Amino acid sequence: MPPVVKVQKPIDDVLSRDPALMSYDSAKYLFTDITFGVANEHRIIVERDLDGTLRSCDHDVRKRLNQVYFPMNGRKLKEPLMFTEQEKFNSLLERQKYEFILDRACVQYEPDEAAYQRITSITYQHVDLNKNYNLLRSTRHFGPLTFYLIWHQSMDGLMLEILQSGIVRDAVVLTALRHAIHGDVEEGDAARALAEQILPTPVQLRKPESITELDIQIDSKCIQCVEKYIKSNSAMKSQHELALQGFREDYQQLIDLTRGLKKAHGHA
Amino acid sequence: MALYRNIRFMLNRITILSDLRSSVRFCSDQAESISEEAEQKEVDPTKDRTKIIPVETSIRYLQSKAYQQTYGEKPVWTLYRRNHKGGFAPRKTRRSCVRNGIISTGNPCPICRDEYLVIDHNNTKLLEQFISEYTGNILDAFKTGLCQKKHKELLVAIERAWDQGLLTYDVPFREYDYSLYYKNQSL
Repeated sequence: MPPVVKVQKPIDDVLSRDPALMSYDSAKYLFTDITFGVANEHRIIVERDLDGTLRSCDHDVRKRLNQVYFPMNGRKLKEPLMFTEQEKFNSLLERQKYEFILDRACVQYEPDEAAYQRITSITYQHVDLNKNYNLLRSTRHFGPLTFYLIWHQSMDGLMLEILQSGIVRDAVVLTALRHAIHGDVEEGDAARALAEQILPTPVQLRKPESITELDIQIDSKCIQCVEKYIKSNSAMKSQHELALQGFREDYQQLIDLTRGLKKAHGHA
Repeated sequence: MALYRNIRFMLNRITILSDLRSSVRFCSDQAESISEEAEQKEVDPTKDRTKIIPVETSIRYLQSKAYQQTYGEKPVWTLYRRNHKGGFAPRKTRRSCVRNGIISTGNPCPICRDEYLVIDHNNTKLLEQFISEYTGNILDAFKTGLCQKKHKELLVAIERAWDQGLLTYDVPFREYDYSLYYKNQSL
């Protein structure tokens, strides 16, 4: 997963002022330490300005010089037009090429760059608005998307989608994450404890076809937990309740079916 | 007898000279030659490539019924076969199919033979046909049979389309070193 971090602060530290070098040359000098085995972030890159001051380079210059000496596969020295031109970016969003946008942003930018955060946030908002969560579900970008939505208090669309696809366990994990970030969910600690229990179980991507008694036990707890969340925090209460009710009926049928089958096989 | 021979020789020289004068022109009649060329052009309008066709027309052509009838669902180069002597085709295709605005070969390459196929970064439906669906690489001119000139144009157009996001491709996977971001915490 690409890390979710704060926007970087500009580097502005003067190493030395040497007025004796004031009109030594008509061009600025850049020095890069290209010693083997140093990470790009820790590399020493400095510039000697025309007025003789020696200062550390800012992020854009650092990025350019790092790319010149240690090129990263897929990154361009010049920003791709699809990120700089609004029209082209919007056309990509319209065509729902979210994964391509995010993958390319990962390669082109560092995660703490302002441009990266702008691009990803626009993309996440577009995904959220059009309910296209499934396009990102099995990618490395789903975690950051979920985090973004919860951070900005707009996770209800995702919650609805999860409930409609009938995966209560994910809904509980989402609630637990919200409680971990904001701490505003009623009985959030119960949700967190339940999430701890859920996480070791295999990931569900669709409605289960067969269930055990242990599954039934966990899922009924999950339903209670989600009910509480809907009552206390949800912004789309009626829709969530409707979706949960649909799930409950489906699940009851599934329980009846499995118990009936067991009885028919003579295990009960 | 000798005098008679001399006179005949002289007469011959004079006639040869006069012939020469009539055949050799010391000034050129340009107007005449241009009109001759124009006549030549009019002879084969199918080989004329001086007319520039806009990309929008080409894009519409690729969605048209006429295109469907000509090429079907297959890429435009599938039914093209290069002419060459011997059992193996030369590694390089010909330099160009068009000289002085006219098709100068009997077997022009798949792009040159159809004047409504225009290579441009906006014409993504055409560009896609030259990218391998399995590897995502641009197909070699040896396989597609494009002339070197058109192949070079194709490379530029595809690179532009990738840059502008008109065509998507598999971006190389970037691995993150998380220890750089957890500066004060142990993982």
